[in-house]
Amino acid sequence: MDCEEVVRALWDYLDGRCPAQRRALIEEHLALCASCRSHAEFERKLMAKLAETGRSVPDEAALRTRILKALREAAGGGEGGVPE
Amino acid sequence: MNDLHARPAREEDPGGFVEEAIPHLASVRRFAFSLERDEADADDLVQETYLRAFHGWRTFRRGTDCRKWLFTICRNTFLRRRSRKFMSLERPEEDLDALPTALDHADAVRRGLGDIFDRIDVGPAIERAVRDLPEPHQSILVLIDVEGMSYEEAGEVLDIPVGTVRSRLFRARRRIQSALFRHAEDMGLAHAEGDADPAPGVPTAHGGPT
Repeated sequence: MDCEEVVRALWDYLDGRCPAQRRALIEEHLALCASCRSHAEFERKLMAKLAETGRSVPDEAALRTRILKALREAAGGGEGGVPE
Repeated sequence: MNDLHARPAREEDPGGFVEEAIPHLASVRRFAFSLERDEADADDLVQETYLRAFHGWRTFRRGTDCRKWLFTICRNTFLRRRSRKFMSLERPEEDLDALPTALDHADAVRRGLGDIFDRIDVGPAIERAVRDLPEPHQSILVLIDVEGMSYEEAGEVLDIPVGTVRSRLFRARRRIQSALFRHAEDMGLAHAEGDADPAPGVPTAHGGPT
């Protein structure tokens, strides 16, 4: 594979969507090509940071309390028990 | 109202709804915010989602993916609340692979921005960039890059084809990356104009050793 083929396939590769044979070809290229390897590393770090940064939820405890209260009220007016 | 706090857990939650659904609250909240883009509206959407899910709990098939089920209810609730459809927001998507991002990256490397993860805390910039994404892109990014769903699962939640998932995701990532580079420039990390010193092996249009 050449550089263009590799960078076009990079996100499919990083997302684990490449078949084994294609994956092996990409890895072979990355082992030899410093610029593609640098790009792949950058995107890998970006995806890791996205996963890490995006996980924060403002005041999750307050939201949980609110939802459970709403569920208890809903259960009180209908069938079934609810939950804490 | 019954004092549910005083009862043993099994009696309080006979259908297992709370046990199954509440652990996904943070995920649903993140997804709701990606749709609503407003903290208060997102909280309202989460509450409505959980109430609908609770009332429809008997339709949930045990052993299947509860988080995905909640996401689907959340999306449908959002559409109902807003009386609008995602499809009306569709525009031709251009980012069908990672090449545009690779070109942006190669350009950034030439400007000395290839190592920004090691030089600054990019967290706040990423957070802002995600919040600034247009809704269709933000929800895809949250489902896949934050919640770890597959393209297929995200497509089912949003009721869009995998190809659209893919192009929206790639577009979203490219926007985030561009926002990061802009942030790094604002922080004065880029080479001055005319001072660019291409890193060895970094091609103009990412050609590499080809």
